Amino acid sequence: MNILLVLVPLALLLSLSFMIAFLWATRSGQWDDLDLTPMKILDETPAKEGNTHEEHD
Amino acid sequence: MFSQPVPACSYCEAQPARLGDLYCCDGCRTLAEVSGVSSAAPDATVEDPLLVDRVGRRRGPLTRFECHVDPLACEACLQGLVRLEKIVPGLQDLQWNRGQSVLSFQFAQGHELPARVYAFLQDLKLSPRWKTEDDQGLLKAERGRTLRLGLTGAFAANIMLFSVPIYAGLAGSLQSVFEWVQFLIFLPVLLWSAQPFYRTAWMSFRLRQLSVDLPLAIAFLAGSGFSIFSLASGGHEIYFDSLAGFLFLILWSRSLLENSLSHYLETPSLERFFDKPIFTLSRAGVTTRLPWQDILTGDLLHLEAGDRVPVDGRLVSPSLEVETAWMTGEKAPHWRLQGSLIQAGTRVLSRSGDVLVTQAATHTEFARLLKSLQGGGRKLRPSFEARLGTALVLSCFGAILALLLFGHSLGLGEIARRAVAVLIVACPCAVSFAAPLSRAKANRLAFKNGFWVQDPLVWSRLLNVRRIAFDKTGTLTGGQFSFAPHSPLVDRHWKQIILSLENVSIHPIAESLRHAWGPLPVLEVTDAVEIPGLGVRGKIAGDSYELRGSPFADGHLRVELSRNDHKVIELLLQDDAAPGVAEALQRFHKKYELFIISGDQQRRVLEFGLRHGFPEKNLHGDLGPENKKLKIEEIAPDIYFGDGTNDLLALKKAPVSIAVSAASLEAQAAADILMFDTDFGRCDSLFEIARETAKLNQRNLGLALAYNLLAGAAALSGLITPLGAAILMPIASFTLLASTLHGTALLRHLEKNA
Repeated sequence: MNILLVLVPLALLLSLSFMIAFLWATRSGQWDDLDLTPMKILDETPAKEGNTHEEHD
Repeated sequence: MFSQPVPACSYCEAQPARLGDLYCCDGCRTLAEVSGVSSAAPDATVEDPLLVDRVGRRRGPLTRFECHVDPLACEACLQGLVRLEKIVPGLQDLQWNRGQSVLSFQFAQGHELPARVYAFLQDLKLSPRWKTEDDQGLLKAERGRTLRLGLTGAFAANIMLFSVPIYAGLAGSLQSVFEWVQFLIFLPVLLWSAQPFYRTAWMSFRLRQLSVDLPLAIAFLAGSGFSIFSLASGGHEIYFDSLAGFLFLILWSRSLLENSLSHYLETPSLERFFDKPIFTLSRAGVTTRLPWQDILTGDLLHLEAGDRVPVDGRLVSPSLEVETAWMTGEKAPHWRLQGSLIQAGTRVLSRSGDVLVTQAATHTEFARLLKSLQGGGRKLRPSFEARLGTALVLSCFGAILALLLFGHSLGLGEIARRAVAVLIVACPCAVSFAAPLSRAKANRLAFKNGFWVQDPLVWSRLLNVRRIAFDKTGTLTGGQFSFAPHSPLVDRHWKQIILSLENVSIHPIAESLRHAWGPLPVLEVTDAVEIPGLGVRGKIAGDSYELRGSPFADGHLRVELSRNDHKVIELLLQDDAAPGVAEALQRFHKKYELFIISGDQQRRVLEFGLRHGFPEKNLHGDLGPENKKLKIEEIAPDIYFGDGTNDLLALKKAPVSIAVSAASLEAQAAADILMFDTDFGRCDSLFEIARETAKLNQRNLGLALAYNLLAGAAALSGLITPLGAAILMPIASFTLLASTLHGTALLRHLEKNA
């Protein structure tokens, strides 16, 4: 049963890391738009000539 | 009786098509028409540096813009938005906030093209309005709610993970370790997750108003205190898992309800209404460009076609074509001649003109109307379940008080144990989240049937509908005219001449004639002149023609065509009901008493109303916005359907207000429910949903009451320990959750066929 001394803190640490990830995701606005972002990945419309973000970077 | 299934939209296939249309929304129509939508990119749009300064917000090297848009009706509109990034050069970080219906995007500084985005959104018929106020607080609050819900769920799940071994028989020192671990994870739930309940409970305590959050907070704190005391004194009566799970369920059900309602439709304000941020004007002889808020009395304001006039003023130019739908509800064009008053809220239709400002924007009658709406919101009435929850709590406290007074022979420890068990078992959590859940379910179903519900408590007010009142223009009629039965038949030759004269006009009469006669080859018209407010004049093949509309007589609009000053044809037109309205009214007359409350001329209201079976005493015309409100008070209808800015006060006053499709933004904001089209026949589904939701609520409340009475009595008599109560409470909650999700047979049928 001594293994619990390792497993319990490990489980807590794991869940804590997920919570921190969730905290970061919420604070940085990752859930702000759940509609357009997934569609952007699937959109296959070709960009207009010369329309890339790099031109202003 | 179930409503007929509606064909799906030809473009997105996800939403029902509007009545008499192939598409569910204008976005789908536009996307279908420009299926390589890149071509719709308005490259030629002129960018205005002043606009960038006014509506853009600098953030490091980037400028951020935000636009309110109409609620997106379907996935296809989203697809249209996605293409913006491909079409507009340099556009970055495009995001759409569903809750607020706000589109945000950024450009690198010096490369901003906001007008191009705006023009694209107009193409999609999303009615964009620049958002100038910085609502970071609103966004933060939304993120805060998500964070609270997510973390509370995680805490509850982790606590349960450590309670399972204890329920399975773990004992000894490990049991204590697991209980202390549960306590550590429970601490943030106690100190942070439950804060909104503490705040509301404290407020209701201070204001001496019982809210359902007060007993929730007390039960939660009592359960927590008892568990902590038990843990510290070496006992094992610990309910951290039940308490955390209960809190998560409440937060979740409330969040579901909030998500199913619209948040973006804030109270109408001048900022929302005047969509053009910068106007050109002349002040003391110097031409300048200023936002509408800075226009002063005495300025000479230059107006262009499409502008919404932000001030009151006198027309200086010879003439101007305008519509004053905000006042009369009628979208038909009117001509204003030099010297006439142009009121704020008026829309300029064609040409441009100058107006001498007599009242600045915030002092106009229009501003006063909007202000009265802001202050005149509906009084918040507590829902039935809130009152029931309060009654339950009061009886709980009464029982505990009785226990304290008469049960001293039991000993203080036993009294405390029983009191905690009563508080936990009889806590009105089931009532608190079952009712919001059933309302969220009803809202979703209504959406599928073509309604967007904004007031979560509207369902109970839809149960006993007997009297229904309608606005006329824009609600029952679509602004189109049809030929009266006794109007003479016209041969092709005259049709061609009339359509040629009307060729450039956008007047509703011209539109209606084009619609009725279809496309015909246009003849060459020379010396064409528009006669303000009367008609058109021009020469065709050497003859002088004049097409002149005379005011409504006998309920009809007369249109005369004369050749070389001799009348040759007289057409008689009548107001046409919007698609599906006549049939819906016919059915409604059998079940409800119907009224028309209109800003239109009384004789037109009479003509239309009598033709559609309304009793004459129920037809009321010539009513301004304030008089419409007074008429609503007098008639006391259960529902009022409206569409225009002139309906705002009436919409606010009616017990249930419904804004029809194409209603003004302000009417949409003021109404309890939005309709996606003018198919009133679908209201039957709405009433069915209301009735079934009430049945579902009654069933849930019955279950909750029975559980509370039985379990409460058992806890009071010591038959249920606090541990038993903590186990029973989530079981009762999940039973009600399952009952709500299962719904009723008719709700399931409606959902299946929506």
